[in-house]
Amino acid sequence: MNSRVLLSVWLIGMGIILAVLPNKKTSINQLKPAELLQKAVNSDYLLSVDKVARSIVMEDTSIVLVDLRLPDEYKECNIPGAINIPYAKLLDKEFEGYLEQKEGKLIFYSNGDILAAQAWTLTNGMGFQNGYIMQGGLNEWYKTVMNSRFEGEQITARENALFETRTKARTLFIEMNSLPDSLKVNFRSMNQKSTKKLDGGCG
Amino acid sequence: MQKKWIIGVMVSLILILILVFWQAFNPNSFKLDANQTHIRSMEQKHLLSIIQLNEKLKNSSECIVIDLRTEEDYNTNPIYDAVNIPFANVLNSQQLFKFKTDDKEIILYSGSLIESTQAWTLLTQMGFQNLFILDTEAVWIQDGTLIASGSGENNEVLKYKFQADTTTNLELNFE
Repeated sequence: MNSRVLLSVWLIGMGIILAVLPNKKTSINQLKPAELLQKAVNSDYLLSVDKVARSIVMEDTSIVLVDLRLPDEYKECNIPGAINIPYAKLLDKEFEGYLEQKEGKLIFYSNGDILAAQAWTLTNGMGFQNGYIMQGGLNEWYKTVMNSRFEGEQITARENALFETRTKARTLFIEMNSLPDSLKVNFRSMNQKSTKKLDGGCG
Repeated sequence: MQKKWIIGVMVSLILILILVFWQAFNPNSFKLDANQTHIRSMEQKHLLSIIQLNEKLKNSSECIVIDLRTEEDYNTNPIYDAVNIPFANVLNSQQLFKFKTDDKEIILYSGSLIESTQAWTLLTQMGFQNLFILDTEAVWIQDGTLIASGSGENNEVLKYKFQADTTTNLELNFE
């Protein structure tokens, strides 16, 4: 009898402690500063625009592209398949599901490098793994994927593959962004659904 | 017998409480959490154009440029008046933390904008206040001044304009 009372006291006490536990996963840093620095120094999270282009052309479902720019900029043009998480809303609760990638690669991009690097550092510090940065952002994408043409005498097999991928990515980019806004919304919602399905894990 | 149990329960509860508090109030040595850092990064006061940087260097003696490149890069392409603290060492550089206590204005420079931005975010979370980075890629030239390696425009401005192609067959996209 008495041990039951004690057990319930213990359980109630534990319950109270658990209830007042600060639940701030979205803002507390999970990594220690040194661990975060270590991750940042080791630069395997940097992806070139060509790698991203290849993933898009191959319809790689293990990547989630995150466009950090303003909604208007995103509407104007974005990389096919990207979802829009404006930098100002990066830490909002509604996007936590996207940041938490267990298997897939979460690739941040903005117009340049600064926003993507800030987003990468913040989310990694919070313990969200699998973040990547598309180096150079959309400016580099335009320069390399959209505007570069092969200039030379003889093309090697490797260069040929590279330029073929760029051409395909370029076509996809132009086609998708040339769609009227109403159709673009469809395209986007299709994409968001499929990423959500991936988040679920068991489906 | 009963007393022993009561003491046991109390001690275990208190122990857990202490552990919880220790976890809650000392999660790590970051001074700002991600939310606070996020808010500060949106103020955009830390981004300097090259013109602003040169003005700052001219007007203030309390201003220090930290070169985050590796020692090797720093030595082969030396920079006047900059202190070399490679990115990998920023957290255990006593020199850097002394600048912080001295309230100096610190400008982080690196060959890569990603690296300087990461350093900014990390050190801001460590409680640094007057910390700046350039908003564009830049290189140092012979006389010790900085010039932009590109157009010098803010790195976060899209330099291209999307040209829609109205000739593509839209139906094909939705099959």
